Amino acid sequence: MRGVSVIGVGITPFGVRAESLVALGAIACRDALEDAGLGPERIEAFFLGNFAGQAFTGQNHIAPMVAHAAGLGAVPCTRLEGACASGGLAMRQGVLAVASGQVDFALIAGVEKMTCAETDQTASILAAAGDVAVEASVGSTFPALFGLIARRHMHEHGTTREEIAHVAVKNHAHGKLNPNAHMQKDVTLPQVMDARPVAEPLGLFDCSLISDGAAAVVLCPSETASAHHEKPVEVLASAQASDSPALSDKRDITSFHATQKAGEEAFSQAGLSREDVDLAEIHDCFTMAEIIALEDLGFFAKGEGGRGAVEGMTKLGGAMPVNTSGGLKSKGHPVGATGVAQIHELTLQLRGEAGARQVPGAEVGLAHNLGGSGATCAVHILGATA
Amino acid sequence: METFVCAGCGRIYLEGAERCGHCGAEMEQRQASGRGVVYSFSSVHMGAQGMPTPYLLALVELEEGGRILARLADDASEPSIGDKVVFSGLSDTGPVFRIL
Repeated sequence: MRGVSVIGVGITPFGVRAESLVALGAIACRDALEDAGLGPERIEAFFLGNFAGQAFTGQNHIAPMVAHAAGLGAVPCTRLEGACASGGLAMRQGVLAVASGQVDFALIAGVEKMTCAETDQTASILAAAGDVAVEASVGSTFPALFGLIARRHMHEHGTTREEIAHVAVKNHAHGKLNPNAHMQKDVTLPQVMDARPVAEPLGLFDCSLISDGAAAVVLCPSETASAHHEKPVEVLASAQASDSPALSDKRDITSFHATQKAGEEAFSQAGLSREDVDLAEIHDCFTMAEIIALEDLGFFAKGEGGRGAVEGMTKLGGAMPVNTSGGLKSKGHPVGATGVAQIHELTLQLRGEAGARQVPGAEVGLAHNLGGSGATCAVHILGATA
Repeated sequence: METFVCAGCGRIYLEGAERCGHCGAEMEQRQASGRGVVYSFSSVHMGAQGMPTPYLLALVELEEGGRILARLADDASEPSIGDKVVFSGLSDTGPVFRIL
């Protein structure tokens, strides 16, 4: 397998967007191609992350539609669906296509259009990322599943409501600095703690945003990357793992086995340790999810992930800033776009182009993308080119 | 409480079927006490489409082992983890338990 590098990234602002699902994808693709200095005719394979195009907009079969709209011609187009990890899976397939020598230039995109649905309809569409037969049928939604998880984590590990709420305060402070974020404003600890309850102990500000948006990435072999971009970013690891989504199938609901496995595999591929990571984009679909992922990836001991935001290690200026983009919490969570948008953020950071939210001297970044209640996990580690 | 336990993956069902809806293995009929404890719970205020809120969801650990996701009876006050519960029947939204 050969080395693979990111030579172009593109993104649409996240939020309530007037453009169609397909148009959002095409806009991000054109941005990424322009960043890479490549015409669409150079792309040999296209991978698209999308979770629920049909359920939200009535449109399925969108990979060739986005490709056509972006002018890619007759290239093979493949849509990947792994719930909220759809984008991470598309990224991984693109990496494998280039690493294997099958293609030299791959385009990856992720897209979702969600704001066209009512909130309770959205909750039901998202609930299909869990095990419908034993969860959604009983009335569980994703906030409810993570409410059950949060309650158990608090019970077993002593995690406090305040620690959980601090994740929202931190990620909103970061998102305020991201011009593409859906919600560019601060929230205070009392605002998070006293917000309208959604599924206790989680309230409105513990939940990620329902957003429209798209992101895209261009990959090529590392050996030729510097011919296409002055600051290529190398893919140091691309790992994926799976588990049952049903909470009743898990021995421990305060950890996600798929994250642990994908994380171990990624660090092994990259030959790096946790201390080498300068920043991370972590899948904070709910505030609690960020804390669990930090533990599962080995950045904190089990039960201590809540310290990250409270003590400042995971804030901008801390030892390892987490979700400098604002995360799913503040940047927004157009489900299929999220995993690709994480790669977009790491690429800007590792090029030194992240503006007001730049992590000084960032050399290694990790992206953690989780599908559903932990059934699919993709972990990528990227490195700046010296 | 009559349960149907999958011989392959161990999933517990309260309604019988020849094969497990999850893994396709054969099911075994087992009588259970219907008693268990609350493993975790959440009071849901913004629910799924067409489901009146609020309602209490609980992951119940059965006395005989294994967990199932269920509703707590409508009149239940907020429980604590470890509270004893007993099966009270099947509703349109699956199993319902009440706090003892």
